[in-house]
Amino acid sequence: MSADYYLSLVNTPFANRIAKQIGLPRPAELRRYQAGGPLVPGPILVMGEGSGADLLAAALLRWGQDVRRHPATGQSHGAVVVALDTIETPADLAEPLLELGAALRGLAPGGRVVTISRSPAGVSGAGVSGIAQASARHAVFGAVRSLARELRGGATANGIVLHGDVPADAPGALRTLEFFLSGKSAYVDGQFVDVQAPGALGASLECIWTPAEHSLAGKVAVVTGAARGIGAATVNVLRREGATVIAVDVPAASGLLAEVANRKGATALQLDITAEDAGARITSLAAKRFGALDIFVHNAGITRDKLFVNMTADRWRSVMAVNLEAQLAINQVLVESETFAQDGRIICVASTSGIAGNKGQGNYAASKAGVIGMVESTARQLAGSGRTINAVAPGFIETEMTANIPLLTREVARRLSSLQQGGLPGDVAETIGFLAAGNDAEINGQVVRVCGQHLVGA
Amino acid sequence: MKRPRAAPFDGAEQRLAASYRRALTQSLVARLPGHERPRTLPDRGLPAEPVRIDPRKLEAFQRGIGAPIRNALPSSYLHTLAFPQAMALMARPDFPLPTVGMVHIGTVAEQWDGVQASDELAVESCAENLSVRRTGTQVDVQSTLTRRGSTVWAGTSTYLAPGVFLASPPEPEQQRPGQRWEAPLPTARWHLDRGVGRRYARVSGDWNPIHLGRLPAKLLGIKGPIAHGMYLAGRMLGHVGDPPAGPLRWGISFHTPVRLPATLEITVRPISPYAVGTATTALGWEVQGWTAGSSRPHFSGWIDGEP
Amino acid sequence: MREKHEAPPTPNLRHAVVIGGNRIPFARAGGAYANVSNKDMLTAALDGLVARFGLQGEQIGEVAAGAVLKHSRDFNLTREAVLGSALSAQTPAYDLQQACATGLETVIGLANKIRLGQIESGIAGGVDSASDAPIAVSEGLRRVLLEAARAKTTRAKAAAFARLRPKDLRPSAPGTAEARTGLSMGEHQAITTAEWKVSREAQDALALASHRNLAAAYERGFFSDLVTGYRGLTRDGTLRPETTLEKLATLPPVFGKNLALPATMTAGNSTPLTDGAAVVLLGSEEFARSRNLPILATIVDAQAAAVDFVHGRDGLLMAPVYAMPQLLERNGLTFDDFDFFEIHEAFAGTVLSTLAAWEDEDFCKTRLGLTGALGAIDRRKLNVNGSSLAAGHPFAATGGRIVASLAAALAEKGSGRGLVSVCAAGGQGVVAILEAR
Repeated sequence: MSADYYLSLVNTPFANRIAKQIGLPRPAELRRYQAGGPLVPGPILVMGEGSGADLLAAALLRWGQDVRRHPATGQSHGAVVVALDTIETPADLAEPLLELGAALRGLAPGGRVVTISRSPAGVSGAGVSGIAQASARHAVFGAVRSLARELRGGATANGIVLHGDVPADAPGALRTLEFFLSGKSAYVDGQFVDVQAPGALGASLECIWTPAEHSLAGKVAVVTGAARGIGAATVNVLRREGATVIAVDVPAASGLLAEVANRKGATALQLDITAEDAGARITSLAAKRFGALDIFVHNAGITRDKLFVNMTADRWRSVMAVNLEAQLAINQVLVESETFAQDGRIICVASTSGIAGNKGQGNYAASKAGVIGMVESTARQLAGSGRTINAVAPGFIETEMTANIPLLTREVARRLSSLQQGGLPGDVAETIGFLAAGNDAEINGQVVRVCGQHLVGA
Repeated sequence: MKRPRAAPFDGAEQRLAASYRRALTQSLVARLPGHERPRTLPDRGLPAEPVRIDPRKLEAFQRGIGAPIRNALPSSYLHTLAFPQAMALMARPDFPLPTVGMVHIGTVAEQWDGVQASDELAVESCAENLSVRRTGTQVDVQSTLTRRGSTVWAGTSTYLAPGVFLASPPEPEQQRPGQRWEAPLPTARWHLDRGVGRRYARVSGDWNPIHLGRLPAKLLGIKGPIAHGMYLAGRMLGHVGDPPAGPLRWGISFHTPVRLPATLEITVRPISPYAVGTATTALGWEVQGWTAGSSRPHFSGWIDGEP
Repeated sequence: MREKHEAPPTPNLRHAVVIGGNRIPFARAGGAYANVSNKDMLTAALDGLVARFGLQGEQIGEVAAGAVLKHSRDFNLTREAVLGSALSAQTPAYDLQQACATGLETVIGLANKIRLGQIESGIAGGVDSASDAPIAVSEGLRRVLLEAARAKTTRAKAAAFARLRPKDLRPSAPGTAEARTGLSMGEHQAITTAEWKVSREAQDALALASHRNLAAAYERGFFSDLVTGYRGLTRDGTLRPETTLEKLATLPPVFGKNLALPATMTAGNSTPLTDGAAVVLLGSEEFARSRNLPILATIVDAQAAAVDFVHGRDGLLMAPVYAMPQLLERNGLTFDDFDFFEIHEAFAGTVLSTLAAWEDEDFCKTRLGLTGALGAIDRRKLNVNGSSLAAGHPFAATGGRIVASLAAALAEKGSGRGLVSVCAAGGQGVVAILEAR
């Protein structure tokens, strides 16, 4: 991993003053998750008039948070939660958003803004009123994304999007709220997570979802590409959350893999995921050793960068084989497998390159865009089954892969995000951990970018 | 019990040194005009005299030839104990052959019982079988070690005085065809460095200059130091399993000198066939040592008994 | 008199099973592990095993391992490696040394403890570094230092040091020469190879098969569950998948050049000096089942033997020839009852001389006390996943490599038996039977 020396330097008082005076970016140290630490760095201001605001406030109180319903002058807030779920027309947006704007001055460093709104795809009824409703709901996206770009001091803004008539305190919504508020989402900025109505097999809604440590206790998880970077960080997060982890990587990385596995107490499996029997071998090991398989993290990926004019068949095919075709084949095995739990979770690692494209990464971007297509399509297939599939799309993450980018390009790429820095593998891993948890199936087919709201693919 | 003090030179060694000195004087005296050596062996040998064993010197000897340090003495060390008296016998004025330049061409020994350092031994020696050969005149010197009156060890070493003819030499034998020696497959290899002669002299007391270094050897007319025959015998016995806890017979013949330093190919072969199984049941071994690629072995020996 | 082993088959003993194994890739001496110690390598092999089976923090019944070339400071090598590994620090360990049979002997020792119910699980193995070999001070210097240490006065100390000679300052490195014969292992084998009239062509062919088999096993992923990469190596450094008979034929002989017969042993058909470590996870069936760990094979039986090479009776590396008929007889088996033969390739000549001896009626009658030849081995079943000629031979690590690979091969086949034969310095040999589950 390449160290972000600028980030360290600019956070010394002297350098910070200089940077401010000459207009250099002043990236902040991000507020990251610490077990046992507070959820947010101050009281949570819940804004909005509808039922959503009441439900969220009630839930946050139940979590033991310091909840405020009205901004007070001079009061600093750790987070602002804005309920926009009752917006009917574009005009309805003005009041809550202007109020929010005023409250931002009191947002603590590392603070959070989370909106909760309804999906424009689920507007009630056609006609002029429906279209206006959809427009208003869509307008929320633009507002939050802009807000995210304006926030400083490591603060972020993200949104929860409820589908149909999913209540604001549905487990999926509350899990997402907890994720956005906590340090786990440190590098997730300007993003939206859709919460769908659970299928017939969804969990009962009898009690309000409450955050707990060891959210994955009793689960058996597989992480591919686990020897380094995001994969290794994912092993850490899944183990911290109590899952039993099978860490998979190719024999060439086996030495590192063993050390990652031993550090966190995982089981190492050397395997080339492009092998024909890869899916069968993994499920068989999980079944024999642990009697179950609940979570599968498709993290293994390779880059073989070349401009299209210089692209070779070998480079193209190997990238597609590892990054996309292997995932397709393994997912087929999982879907048909009885070992894979009825509330199984598949999490794929896509990339912002797959969303926006990237010069010299035609093969890589194609494979990662393919992963997004696979996630969306598979999600429809899984809908109502209790199983889910989601993806994370990392942006500029400080890994061995990005350490190979030429210095200047790397420095520019780092500062091009709203958070003005690269993310850490752990930031992606936390997002994977969020998508792996929960026994509701309300979050399905999502592609969550972990990019600090990078300009690319935002 | 008080241990005997280790002296740099004990009586036996002083005696050996004296013998060499006398031998050297005699070789000079022999060149004086009108000097005549006796042509026959003396009638009597040397009478029995006690032998003292210094444990420190014994350990040094055992280490020197690579023998294990056990209670029983190496059979070759018994030869070393007897050697000063044998040398004294040969250095006497009434001995017919000149000691300087004499070559050790072989030893045959028999041991009837195991010997340990605390045993009180006595040695007596005599010379016999003076005979004229094609290359010179040879003599057998027999030494006997007794323990409370009974013989425990007896060895006969044969020495040749090259170019000395007490009678006319026999007709040369006709070379028989097809008798060329062929090197067998080796079973071991000995690396003998330049200092082997000096080190063996230190532990055995045999300071014959031809073993000590280039210069002393050259003074005696040979190109460089050669290994002690008894060193080779000691290594041979040590390899096969010296020291004996019981009866043992062994012999060694020296064919060509081992010029130091040297790497010797060694073969050990059972004389009698083995019985079935993994136990060592052979009662006898043949040993040969040669330099790779040479047409004659340096030595050949045999061991018969229960090593 | 030959020792008879006619104890009844052990009725009340439970089974000891092979659960799995791990080794680091073997490296050519002075190569990837040049600056790595035995302790480092053994720890890495243990850690790879721990990772493979999720044994982090587990207390294992006992760990037994050893090294042939061992620093005196490593007197507690295995325990030190355990303390440095991801295993529980409460795991006891002991060192064992039986030259090249060290690894196999640790497997046998721990398997027997498991069978007796003394332990539930064990990790057996070995390690060796030809690169990080211990260097000792000369005998002269050593004696002076010891005497000076014993001396009570400065004068006595000075007297001790006064005896020091310049040549005493030259260090002495361990060689592969046998203490009693002064011949290196290769020279010894060259003699045996000549005695059994094994041809250069046959030796080269065996070496070629070893490289091809090992390369093919790597290609099909056979070693994914047996090897964990270390220090940049993911495959054995001595493996030459592209070698050919023609290339092997061009190599000059390195051993047996002093013999009257033509020398046939080259660097190609002899194992190179190698660094590496290998371990095997053993357990009772209950242990394996209670943790849902795989059971690859059962350790059925084993036999050691030794030969008298000092008196020129047998070749240094021919002891397995004697051990084998005893083992087969005790278990009522013949070569036809086996599906895999793992004969350690110290040298191609060793394997071929061993096979020749078992096929030789006269030898088997007069030396082994059999009624006829012990029999021939189906060469298609011999070292099917490669052996030491291709993988290398870090002395004490070879037993662990062979047992784990054979157990995996038996598990892959799903049935059958395998025979292990390992020769060792000092004229020793150990053979063992494994059976599929």
